[in-house]
Amino acid sequence: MKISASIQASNIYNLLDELENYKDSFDQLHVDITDGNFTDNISLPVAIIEYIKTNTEYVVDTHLMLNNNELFTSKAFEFGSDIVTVHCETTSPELFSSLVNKHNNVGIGILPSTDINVLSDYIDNAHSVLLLTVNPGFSNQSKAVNLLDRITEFKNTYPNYSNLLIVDGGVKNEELQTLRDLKVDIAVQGGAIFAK
Amino acid sequence: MTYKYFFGSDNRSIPYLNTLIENYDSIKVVTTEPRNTGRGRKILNNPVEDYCRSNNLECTYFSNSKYYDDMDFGICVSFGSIFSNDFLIKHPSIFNIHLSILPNLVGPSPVETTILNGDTLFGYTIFKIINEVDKGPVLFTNQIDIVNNYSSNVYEELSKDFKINFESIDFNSSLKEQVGDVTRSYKFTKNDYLITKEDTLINAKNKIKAFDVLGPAFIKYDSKIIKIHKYTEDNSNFTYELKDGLLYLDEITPEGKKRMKANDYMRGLQ
Repeated sequence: MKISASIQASNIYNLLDELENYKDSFDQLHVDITDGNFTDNISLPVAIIEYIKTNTEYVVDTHLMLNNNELFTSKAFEFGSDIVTVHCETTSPELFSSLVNKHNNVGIGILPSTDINVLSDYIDNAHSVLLLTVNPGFSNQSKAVNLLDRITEFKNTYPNYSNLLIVDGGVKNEELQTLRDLKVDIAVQGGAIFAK
Repeated sequence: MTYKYFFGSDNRSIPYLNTLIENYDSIKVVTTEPRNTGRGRKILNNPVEDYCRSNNLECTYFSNSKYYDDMDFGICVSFGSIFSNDFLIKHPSIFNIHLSILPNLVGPSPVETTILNGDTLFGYTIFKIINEVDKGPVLFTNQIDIVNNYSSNVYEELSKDFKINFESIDFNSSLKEQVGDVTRSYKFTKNDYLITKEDTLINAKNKIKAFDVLGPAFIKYDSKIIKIHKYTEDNSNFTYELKDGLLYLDEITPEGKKRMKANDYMRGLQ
């Protein structure tokens, strides 16, 4: 399992130093892009991806929590993102198919409050599934669903899914082994890394 | 019929693919899809795909949702995709070639970290890929002393050693658990490539050698960036003053110019 550090929880004005200081805690970087519409706050500019890719060698997975997924998926890939996740709540199955046809490595995300069965219209095309366990938009939150229950629910609903499974939201260090045991591929951590 | 599968996606993986091709008739190559890279983010094939095309080898794109039911075993070198847990359960015999003696220097930059540490002892480990990064059981290791430790030369020497030893490696033999203390190597940021006047001479030389593939190392000189590919001990060359001595630059790429001898650049400035 890889650990993806959510840079929203870092001191973004000193990002490269932050990455250097905490480099033993993660394998790749997670970038949350929110629009103040789908979420209640505006986070980072999408151009931060280009800054990261120009100045580091990290794999970047970008998590779009916004309404205009078509535009920002293209921008995120143009800026060098390796994986882009859009949300099923703001992306129709048709749009998702079109994004998958246009770009490599497009994943689907789901809010904690959304019925897991909604993913059935997306999962066959998805490079990855991101289970969000907090309400979107802010870092360092407590979970809105039980992590173990949500993963188990997903695994039971989609037993044949074999692409990447990403878990994002309030993941604590003491939960990492449980996630490994549950065969999660990427765990996103923010506060657990940068708020040490 | 079963096949040996090769998973790779950058230049460093090609010599290993070449060794497999020389030793097996039944090989299938799996690589990553073209992606936006470089300045202007142009879509480029990866080097492995280009190599396959120019050598008439079949090459397919990787997906965790695929099941390669004709795989005998797989060998993975510098592969730019993540294997999902489910993929590894379905394909339990994929080996990675990691360029250190594990568990020493787990992580993405074992060669560069060894050079930065001032060492000339390098090695490689062939291990089975499991859920945890670089922690799988070991099939084969070999350690070699490489005195000319520019990273480009180290990569070349390690792949040559793999080629020499290939016939003695049995991919069906028993595996051993990794033994010893874990040390780590890390991804680098551009700041790591920068040589400043606060660096010691030995640190600066190690940076030039370590980053000649990933970087190169660079200095800021008269507000311009000068990339450094090679240094020399010849004191008639372009010099850069460091904390404890003078660094003599040999091959450089000045900002906005092509790679050239440092002395040619200096003559141009005069």
